[in-house]
Parts: sequence; structure tokens; C-alpha cells
Amino acid sequence: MMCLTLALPLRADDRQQQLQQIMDKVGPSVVTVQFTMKMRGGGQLGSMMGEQERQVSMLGVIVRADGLVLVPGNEIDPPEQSIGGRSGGGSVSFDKPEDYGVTLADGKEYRAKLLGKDEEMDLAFLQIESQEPLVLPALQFSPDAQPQIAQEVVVIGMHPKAYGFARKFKITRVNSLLEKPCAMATTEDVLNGYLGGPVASFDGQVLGIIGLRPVTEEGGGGGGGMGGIGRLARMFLGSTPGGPEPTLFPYDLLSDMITNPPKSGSKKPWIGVMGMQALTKELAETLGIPKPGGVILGEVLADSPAAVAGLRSGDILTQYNDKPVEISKDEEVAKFGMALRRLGVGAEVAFTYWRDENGAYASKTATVTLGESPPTQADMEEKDQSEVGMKVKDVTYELLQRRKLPATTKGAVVTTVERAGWAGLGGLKRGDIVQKIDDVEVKSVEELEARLKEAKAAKKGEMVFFVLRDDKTEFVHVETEWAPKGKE
Amino acid sequence: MNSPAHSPLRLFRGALRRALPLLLMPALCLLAQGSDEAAPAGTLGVEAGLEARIQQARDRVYPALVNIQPVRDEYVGGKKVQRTATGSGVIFDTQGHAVTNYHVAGKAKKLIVTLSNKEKIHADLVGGDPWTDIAVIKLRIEEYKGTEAIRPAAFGRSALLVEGDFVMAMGSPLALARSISFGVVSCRDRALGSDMELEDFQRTGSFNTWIQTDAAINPGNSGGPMVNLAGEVVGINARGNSGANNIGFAIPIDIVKEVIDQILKTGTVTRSWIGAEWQPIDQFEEHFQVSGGRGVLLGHVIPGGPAAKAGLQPGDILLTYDGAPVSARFTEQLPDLEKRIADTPVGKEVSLHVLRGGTETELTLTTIRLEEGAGEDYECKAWEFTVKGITSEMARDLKLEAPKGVLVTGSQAAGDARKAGLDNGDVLLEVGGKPVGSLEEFIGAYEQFVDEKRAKVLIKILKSARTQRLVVLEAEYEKKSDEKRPEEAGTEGKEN
Repeated sequence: MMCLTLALPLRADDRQQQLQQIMDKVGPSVVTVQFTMKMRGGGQLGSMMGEQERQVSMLGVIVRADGLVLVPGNEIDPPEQSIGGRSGGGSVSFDKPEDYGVTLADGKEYRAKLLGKDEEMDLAFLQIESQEPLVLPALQFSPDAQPQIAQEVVVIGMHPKAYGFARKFKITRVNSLLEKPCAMATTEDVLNGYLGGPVASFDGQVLGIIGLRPVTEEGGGGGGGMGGIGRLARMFLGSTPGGPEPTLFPYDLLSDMITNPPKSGSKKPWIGVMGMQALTKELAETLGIPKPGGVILGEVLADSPAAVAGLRSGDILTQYNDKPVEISKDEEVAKFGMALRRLGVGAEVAFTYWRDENGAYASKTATVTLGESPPTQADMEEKDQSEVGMKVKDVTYELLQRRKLPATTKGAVVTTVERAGWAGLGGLKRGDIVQKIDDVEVKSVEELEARLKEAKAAKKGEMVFFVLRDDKTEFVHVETEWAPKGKE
Repeated sequence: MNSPAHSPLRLFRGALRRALPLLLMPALCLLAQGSDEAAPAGTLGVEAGLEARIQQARDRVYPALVNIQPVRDEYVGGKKVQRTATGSGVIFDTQGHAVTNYHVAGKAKKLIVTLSNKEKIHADLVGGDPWTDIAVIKLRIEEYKGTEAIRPAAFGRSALLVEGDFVMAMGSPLALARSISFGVVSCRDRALGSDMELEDFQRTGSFNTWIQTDAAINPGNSGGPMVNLAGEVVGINARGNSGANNIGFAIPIDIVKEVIDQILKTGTVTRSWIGAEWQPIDQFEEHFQVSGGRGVLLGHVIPGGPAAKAGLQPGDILLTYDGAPVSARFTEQLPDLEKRIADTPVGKEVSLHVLRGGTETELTLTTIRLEEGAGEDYECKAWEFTVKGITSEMARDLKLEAPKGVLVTGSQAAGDARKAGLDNGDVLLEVGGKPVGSLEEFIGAYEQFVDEKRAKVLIKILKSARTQRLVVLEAEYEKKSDEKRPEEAGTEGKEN
């Protein structure tokens, strides 16, 4: 006991110095990002919340001297979220902020624009705007430093606004090394205020930053697998939520993005396969395939790039562009999806694959041109038809695939119905796809709006909607107030 | 479900569907020998007090009232378990036939019946009809040890009921046998919608409206008689609502009688199907230029079905079916139309008059047989999971292109199937390289591999009936040879 007590102050002095050096080195790169987020509720539950504004502040890191700032993506441009049950529930959507405020450690303030977001890593990039060229204190990563298991590290974080965004730090250890979907180290005890923060070793090397571990989805995915935004893009990662946890993203995961940050609106590459499965040792043996390593396709979506190239469900991809697909565990399938996506929209990918031909596997080749990820239902703009008390969206390929409807299905999908509105009273329901009004076809929201306009101009007191509900058609009689009084 | 924002009807329907399995009650019938003759009310004496009339009516049905304890196999958690319940029923002829609900006795492998004089007799299932939720059983009257003769109950006519008529519900609410509750007909023709399910995929109630009553109907009353003051059975109590007060439903006896006749003749009920879904014409009359309460609106045509083949389209107004005019202005009239179509002989060429765009057209369709909605269950004991055959109806619900494969309905925790990654809702397409077209083919392949004690079986599945996936099932045959694990051995009791 005596010795220990004596030894501690000495070591603490050393460490005090080390920590001070780290803070001095890393601290100036840590910035405060602030913006206003507008939320709008939809549906029965959502309409109760109406429109709300929220001030968001978060920690960011300058990663390039020209003003590129990396921030956690979870609160930047979040996807529409559904709340409550399938019927009677609702959704919350978020308006994109016009701009973001960035405050440097020395108090200097800038405006910044959102460049884009990497959905997989859930990281966003902001570009600070300035008239003159910027030379900002960018974080100096140590490219060769790899996190080691049990390594002691320092994480720099930030207090909330109430404490003036004061910087803080935490000493922790790398508690495991993950391979899913790519090399990451976890430091699970790092939570509030450290998300996005830099991580340094005690000898001053910057190892990476704290992000949220990507949610990998297990093969199969199931019927409901195509839910939120970006899920189509995610689908070809194979895909079951494990829940995101704070994780150290080492520099080698970030370097590509820093050089070439993701751009909003830039199209995500898409192959159009749902539910990929690894060719495990066991499956290879059972199928009589010489060696493990490959990806078995679960569902090739109609008209997708994979389908166009002739790939089918059950095909086993073993090579792409002459590189072996070394995937022999389901947890690694996501890696393959990421590798493909890096090739970009328009890239031609030459696959070698096995196809089951009456019980024997034959080796074949196919060239897939990566397409653009089709828009999801969440990307569609919700149009208010207030006179009949409902909101509608255009139907997307993603919705039709999710509901297993023919890809040729046209119409406008009802996203919100006011219970006591004319549409609601007539019996229209959320999820109905309106295909005709008064026997005239409705192929889009635009056409639906035109039909309603005509009906109003003609002072129609009633309309007959023809809708697709689940997968069955039905007529719905909707009264309006447009008819002159007395003639109802 | 208790959200005040819900309309009362929705709330009610939702609760009803959930409450469905609860309702089993004993029914009792008086001697009628199949005669439909209602005893004239006058014979009971106009001067008799209400209580005396109730008691007279009771005496005519009470001796035929039975409590039914079915023993059946259920497929739970990946294995077949034996379960029991309590229901009600009523004897309707001197040979000892009794009617009850399908959900009481329709799948029973053993039936223990207790008469209202407390005598116990075994019974055998004669046949059942899930579409109307009716089953017929036959008491082994040779086992009867009672001294008084078994007296069947008489059937009345449900068509004559009007709101306000006094009725009794007899049966075994909460397994309390020989109970009577009393009330009125609250509504003689309640439409409960066509989306009710008896079990997964098995729709029910499409061919009848319901007699709603405030006579208490509780779980255990299912299958029991609804009795009028003349002492006639006018309905079979089948549904209650656990979320409401005094809202119970009986199947009208008029349709029950037809079902009984068919079951006694053939053991089953044969119906026709045309693959069309109808809507009441009411609010659409002006739009589709029909008047005079004629016709019914075609809302949906099932692809590939007889209606589709005949060229019927959504928006057609059906004016006549098989030569007779058709009319359904209100939802309550739809079950009648459904029943008329169902009653057409299977394979009959039927002529239809439809109004399309204001012009009358004649079309011809050929009916096909209405299948049961749910397939047979099967336990794969060696691989520790259960499956169900896939019917056309299930294939449509699962959105499969055609009926194929078998559906996984459960897998045991830490069992071979679970370890291989099989889950509820997966569809098995191929087992050990053999395509599985039907439950029979599956059983054939399964039994062969089990006989061979095949250690590794490659299975091709559609995960969640959607995405293809290959799994390798590693079977351990040794651990479950013969002796059951103790917790599996017992018969589980379940109070309905």
C-alpha cells in the first residue's frame, strides 16, 4: 500500500503531461456544429405533434485544412421515421437545414453546407464556407497506427451547450477488435458527448474517431427488410439490426471518404439483390463446390441490374473483376456489398458465378452494370390534398417490391388520411394505392391532383375511387362539399 | 385498441378477432328428429307467465344440452402437443348426433361428452366445416348408463327471428356446465366482415350473418344452442367479445341445418368458388347507372380464378347469377350472395348477366371447388419443427406465385431446425435436393432421410416466404430416440 501511494503521484505527473500534449494537439480540430432541425408529423399519431423545431448541437472534427468537417450522421438529414402501429400510426419527417453553424475551439464562427452522408458508416461531411482560402487546424491522423486490443486511448469529447461546449476527455481501452463489416475497435463505454470525437493513443498518435457501429443486416432480411431511407442501397449488403454502438473507426476506414467525401444527391450504386448469404465451408461441402468463399444471391429484384445481367436467386458469386469473393461467413457479407458500392454507379462488374443446373453446379460469367439505387418511398414528397383530407405520394419501385406488387403497378399511395375528412369518411385508408377516380386512370400524384381539380371545377358532390388495398382492388365512394347546396 | 379515437365498430371487430379462440360453449337441443316444425307458441299458453314459458322452453332443450371436452393435437413451439378445452353442443337426433362449433370439435381426435344429467359418454367426430365453424359429432349412445331416454332438441327457423325476441344461451361458460343465460335478439343480421379467421389462413363466416344477443356468451359457450321461447334451437353460439358487455353472436340455425345435412351425407361440405370479391352497390348506384336495388358491385377479381377466366372485371355489376337476379345493396346482404355462389354445384357452367359501362353483357363461368383455407399440420419430430401444407389460399396470402413447398409453423428452441436457421414463416422448397411440391412430397422426403439417418440435409427455403436461402440441417438422431424429455410427455390443459 505504501509503495503504491508513493508511486502514483510520479506517474500521474507523466500522464498529466502526455494528456496535455494530446489535448493541445487534437483540441483545436474539435469544433461545435449547431443547426435547427424542423420536424413534421404525419399520420394519426404524427399529426398530434404537428411542426416542431429543435436546436441541435454536436461535436465535429476538422479533417481537412480547407474546412472539411466530419460529424456523426445520425442527426444529420435523418430519414422519415414511422411511429406507432401500422394503422393509426404516423410518421415524422425532417426538413433539411439550410446551413450549419461551425464554431472553432478559438471561438471563430463559420457557416457550413452539408456535402453528403455515408449511410453505411453513418457519418456526414460539412464544408465550411469562406471567401478566402482556409487553413484550419485539421486533425492529423497517424495512418500507420492500428488500434491494439486492450490499448489505452484518450477520447476527446464535448459538454452540452449548458456548459459552454467545454471540451472533455476520457481514458478508456480498446476492448475488442471487430471484423464486421470491416476492421473496427470498440470502446463501448464511450457515450454521451464523445460521438464524433477523436481518439488518440498515449504517445500522441491519432487513431480514428468515435462513430456508431454500422447496423449490419443478416442474410435473408425478410419481407419487411426494405423499410427506411437508403435501405434499398443497404439491401445488397445482405442484411438484421444489431443496434448501433459507439465504436472507434480507425483511419483506414475514413481515409477514402476524407479524400473524396460523399455527395448528397449523388446516386448510390445498386445491383438489386436482396438477402445475400455467404458460401460457408459447410455449404460448399454440401453443394459439392470445391472451396468456400462466395456470395449466394437470395432474391434478385425484377428489372434490377443483376436481373438484367441474367443473375438469378441461388447463383453463387465467386469472383468480381478477377478478384475472389472471400466471404465464407454471413457476418462478412456486408463487406462485399461495400466493396461493390465503392465501384460506383455505371461501373461494369464482371462476375464469375456458380449456377445450379439440375443439381450440378456450372461455372458461368456475367457482367453487371451497377445502376442507381432507385428512390425509396421515404424519398418521395408527400402532397397534401387538404380538400379531401388526405396526403399522397408517388409509388416507387421500392414500395412495389416491398409489397410484392407487380412492378408495372401505377397510382398514388395514400400516406395520411384524416379520420373525419371526406376521404376518411368515404373509407380510404393509409396504404391504399389510388388507381382510378371516376373511371379515369390515376398513374401519379400529378394525375390525382388533376382529377381532383376537375372534379372540383365540375362541382361534383361525389367521386368513386378505385384503389389497390393490400393486393386487392376495391371501390371507395367519397363525398365532397363541392356540389351546390341543395343538390346532394 | 382502446384508443378512443377508434370507431366503435373497428374496436369491436379487432377485439372480436382476438377473442375468437375464447369462445366455446356447450349447446343443448330438444327432441326434434330433424323436424323443422316449430311448436306453435300458442301451445305454451298465452296466459302463462314469462318465467313459466322460459322454463318450458328450457325443458325442451336442456336434456339435449352437452358439455364437450375435445382432445386435439396442436402444433406449438415446433412440436405437436395434446391439448384440451371446454365447449358446448346440442343433440339433435335420436341416433345421438350433436352439433357444435368446428373450433370446438373439428380437429378433435377424442371427444368426451357430459350430458345435462351429468352422464359421461365418448363421442366421435362425424365431420366439420371451418367456413361456417360447424362440426357434427356422434355420441356413443351404447355407453349411456342413464335411466331417462336421450331426448334430442328441435331446430326452429332463424329467418323468423326479429330484434327483441327472447332467447337463451345454454352451455358451459368458463367450463361451468349446464348454465343458462337469458336475453333478447339484439340484431338478427349482424355482418361481421369477411376477414375473420378461425386459425391462421382459415377464413370463416363468409356465408352467414350473425344473430347478436345480449344473453351472456362466455368462453366455453361455443357450440351451445341459442334457444327461443318456443324451446327451439335458433342458433349455435359461437362468438363473444371479451372487451364488451353482453355482445355475443350465434350462427343462424337455418344455415347450420344445411351444413349438418351435408356432413351427415358426405362427412364434409362441398362448395363452389369463383374468385370474385363483392361490394354492396348502395352508394355506387348512381355512378354505375343501376337502380331499383338491382345488382352487386365486383370489387376484385382473383387472377387465374374462374371469374377472371370468364372475363369479369372490377366495376362490373352482377345482375343475375345462374338465371336468378342478384341484389346486394348493403353489406348484410353479401353473405347471401356468397352462399348462393358457394351452393352452385362444383364444375357447373353458370351464365351471368353483368352491367358494364351501362351495357348488359352475358358471360359464362365454370365454378371450381372451394378449398379449405389452411393446410394440414405435420410434426417433423426428428428434426424438431412443425410444418403446414400450403393451399392456394395460403399461397395468395403469402404472395407466392403458386402453391408450392411447405410452411414452417414452429421450431423447438435449440432444436436441429432452429439451429439450421429455420423460422416460422419460412417456406421449404427443397429438401436434400428433392423439390417439395406438396406436404405429401415433403413428408416422403423427410421420412426417407430420417430412415437413412442422414446427418446433413441441404434445405432450400424462402426466408419469410420471400428470399431464397440455403441452410444445412444437421440432424442428431440419437438424442431423441424413443424416450421423451419429461416436460414433453404431459398433456397440457388449456381452458377455452
